[in-house]
Amino acid sequence: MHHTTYVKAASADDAVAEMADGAQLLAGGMTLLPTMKQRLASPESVVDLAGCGLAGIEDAGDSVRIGAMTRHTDVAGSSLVQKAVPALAALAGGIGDRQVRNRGTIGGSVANNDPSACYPAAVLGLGGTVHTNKRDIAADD
Amino acid sequence: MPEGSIKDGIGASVRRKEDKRFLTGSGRYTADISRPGQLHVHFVRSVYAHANIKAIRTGAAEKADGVVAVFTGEHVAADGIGGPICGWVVTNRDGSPTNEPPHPILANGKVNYVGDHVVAVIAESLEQAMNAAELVEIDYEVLAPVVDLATAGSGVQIHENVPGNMYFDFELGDEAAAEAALDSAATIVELEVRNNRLIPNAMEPRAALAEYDPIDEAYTLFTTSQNPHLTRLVIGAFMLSIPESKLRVVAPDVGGGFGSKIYVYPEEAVCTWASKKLQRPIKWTADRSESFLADAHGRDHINKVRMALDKGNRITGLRVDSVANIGSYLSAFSVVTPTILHAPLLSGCYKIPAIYTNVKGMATTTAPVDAYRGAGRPEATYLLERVMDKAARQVGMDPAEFRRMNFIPKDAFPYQTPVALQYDIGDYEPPLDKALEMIDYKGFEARRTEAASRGKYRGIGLSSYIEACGIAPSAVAGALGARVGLYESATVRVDPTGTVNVFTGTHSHGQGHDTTFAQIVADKLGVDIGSVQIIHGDSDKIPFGMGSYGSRSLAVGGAAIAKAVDKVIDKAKIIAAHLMEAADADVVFADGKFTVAGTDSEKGFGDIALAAYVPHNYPHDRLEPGLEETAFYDPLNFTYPSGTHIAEVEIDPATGVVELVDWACCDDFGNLINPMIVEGQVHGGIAQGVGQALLENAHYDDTGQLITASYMDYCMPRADDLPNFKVDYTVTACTHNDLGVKGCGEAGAIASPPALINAVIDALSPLGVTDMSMPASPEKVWRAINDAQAEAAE
Repeated sequence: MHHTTYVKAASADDAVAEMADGAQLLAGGMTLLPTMKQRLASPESVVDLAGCGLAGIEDAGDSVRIGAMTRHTDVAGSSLVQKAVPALAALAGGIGDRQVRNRGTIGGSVANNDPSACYPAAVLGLGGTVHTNKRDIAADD
Repeated sequence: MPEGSIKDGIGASVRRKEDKRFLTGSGRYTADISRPGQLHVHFVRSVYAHANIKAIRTGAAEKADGVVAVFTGEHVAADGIGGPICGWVVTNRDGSPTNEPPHPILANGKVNYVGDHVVAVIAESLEQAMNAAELVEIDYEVLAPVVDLATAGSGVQIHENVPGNMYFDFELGDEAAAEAALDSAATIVELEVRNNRLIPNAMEPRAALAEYDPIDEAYTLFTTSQNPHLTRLVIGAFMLSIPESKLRVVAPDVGGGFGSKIYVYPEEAVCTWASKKLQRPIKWTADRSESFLADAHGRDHINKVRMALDKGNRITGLRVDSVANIGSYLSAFSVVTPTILHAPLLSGCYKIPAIYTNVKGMATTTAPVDAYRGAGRPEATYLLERVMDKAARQVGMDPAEFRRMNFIPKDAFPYQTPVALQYDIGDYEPPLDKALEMIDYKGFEARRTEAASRGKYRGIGLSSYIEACGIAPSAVAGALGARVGLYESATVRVDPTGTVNVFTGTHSHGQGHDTTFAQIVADKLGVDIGSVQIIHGDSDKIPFGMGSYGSRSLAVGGAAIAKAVDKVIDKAKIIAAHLMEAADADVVFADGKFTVAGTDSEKGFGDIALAAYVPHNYPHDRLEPGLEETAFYDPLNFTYPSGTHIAEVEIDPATGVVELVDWACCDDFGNLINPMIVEGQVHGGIAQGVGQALLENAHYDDTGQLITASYMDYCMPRADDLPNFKVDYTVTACTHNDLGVKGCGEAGAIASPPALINAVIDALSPLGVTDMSMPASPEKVWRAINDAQAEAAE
């Protein structure tokens, strides 16, 4: 891995400011870190979103809202998700292995948008909506 | 035949002594060893499969932080450093020798595969070396790659002295007899199979640490090797041209090899050479990507098989025409793996009067291919057991009964095959019957019907194998082109207080020799297993030995140890006779005690040891003091483990996923020293065979890039891919070593792939599927099902 500076953001605005300075966002790191270890990416700094309060699973009445930094293991183990969308809990429970599920996040997976990954397919299949700090994106888009 | 007379002796499932350090992270691997002042080397490797090097600019790298030196092939050539040698070559059909191309440790003007070693960047830290490596600029003139094995002969010529990209053109057997059998056959069975290329993936990547002592003018090399003495001989005498005695090679704990750690690789030679040039220790550790790219790969054959049967469905002849992918350079056993270790196994367990095979070894711009668990025997067993199943189907016989009918009968031994090998002893029906019983073969059709009611296809497949291991009788090997002998060494050194040190020329990198060899010695000497030390891996400590591969450690190494122990016992008896004032012939040794027949005189083994080293009351006129004996054992023949494996699968047509629902195997390994360790070897071998048949495949694209260069793309078998194995044994003791052992390390990997593929074909045959290649991935199986259904619909 090339040398990099690690910054832990205290809030989403903090992270946005770091990004403006050129930092790479770090969610679960399950894609970014292996890429950096293979020297295929060498950001000068990475800003960790773990402290920004972006995790959590919410009952929104006719939908379930899952915070971008929610770990796969929490989606899999959530009784709300298991009741409302059991297939989603099962999907999250099958991603990678135990260590990956403890770190990986739904936001990171969706942002990476790898066609062979689990979550993007789930978002599409469930007709979900992705809410960012700038816009809302329908699954089909 | 020695019997297990004490609780930790021969035949006991003693827990492994070495596990304590391995399971608590206390193993001492090469990468764990560091020296003050050491430098780290990182290699710049070719990104092209085939290219001329027009220029290498290292100026920026040399000036980078922490860099001490940057070496290229020019530096290597200027110092007259030789390349790794091929340890065993063959003579071609026309009498000419194998074509051996140059094999420089750093590329000399040309690169021949992606991963080829071009520049060595040496710096104070690994990170500095890796950063500096990115500053090296190489101008390549890209040449056409040669990737496809089937057409390699008509590709661009890779090496000047290897015309037609053919390293060798080998044959064995009687072509006229085989052709005559095919001409007069009642039935001919034809089959083309591909034995897919594999990447070994030992858990520990390769590593090396070399240091030079300017006062003694001597080198020490720590390396991940299966055979430190061979490494010492090759690097010392052939590559660096130094006196062999000036190089010490130590292979400490090594985390798996499976053949990939037999050869001498460029990296360890560069470390050794550079340690003197720079007068500092040089350390290298491979990362997993490098292991994928540059460890020797395995298998990669295309075999065209024709089998002749008479009216009674007995096999009358077999002809196999093969091309084997040897890769871009000749690795140490790369020539012998698809020839000497393969062709003589084509008789299998069967009476086949006429056999002929031709094997052409081809060069391609891919990683060198060499021995990998089974080394030539999985390739032979796969093609034979696939054609046996096809033959049975073709003539409408049950595959088990077709095999049984053609087995060499048990009273026919010693049995001379038409392909050089003479099998000493064997009895193939009992393992077949036991395996059929364990898997409940009779109940299979009911299970197939039940699975079909759930929409699944169930199949069952057999493989009755034999393999030749315990290499090898040196005279035979030499006559067949080996450049080394293949005996084994053992020194048994008894201490004054009766503890025992055993120095063995074999090497343990997962096999559990610390335990099994100690069991043999404890059993024979009647001492506690805790007082027996097994030492291996250090050329300074051990007489010249050939290392571990080819399932030889027990059959050859263990036999050498037994011989040395027998010499110790012989000497001890004379000492005991002296101490007890008896005639030599009256002394009896049993259960660790020397007694005199007809008296109550008794001396323990410890008493004798002390007497030997404190020889106050001692037969000096007859014996030297001390109690230490060395034996070199050259085996009289190969050993021939055999058995039957049966796989049962269930296939989901919607996904093509092949589920392995049951596995039964019965193997004849001769006498078993530690049944638990033997079973572990069987499990591991089957797992690797299942990996080959269902999951693994090393694939280069048509530009010569290795597409499967990480675990994202190369699928390893995991525990949940495998069922609980039903394992049993029969025993026909090997007739030509005192322990009656045959070896067991590779049998699982040899037997399993055809059993599994035969099961898949059996499952899908109701749909009209008659063939399946390895790996039987879900997509491949799904397509085969859909293509067959489409065809049926027409």
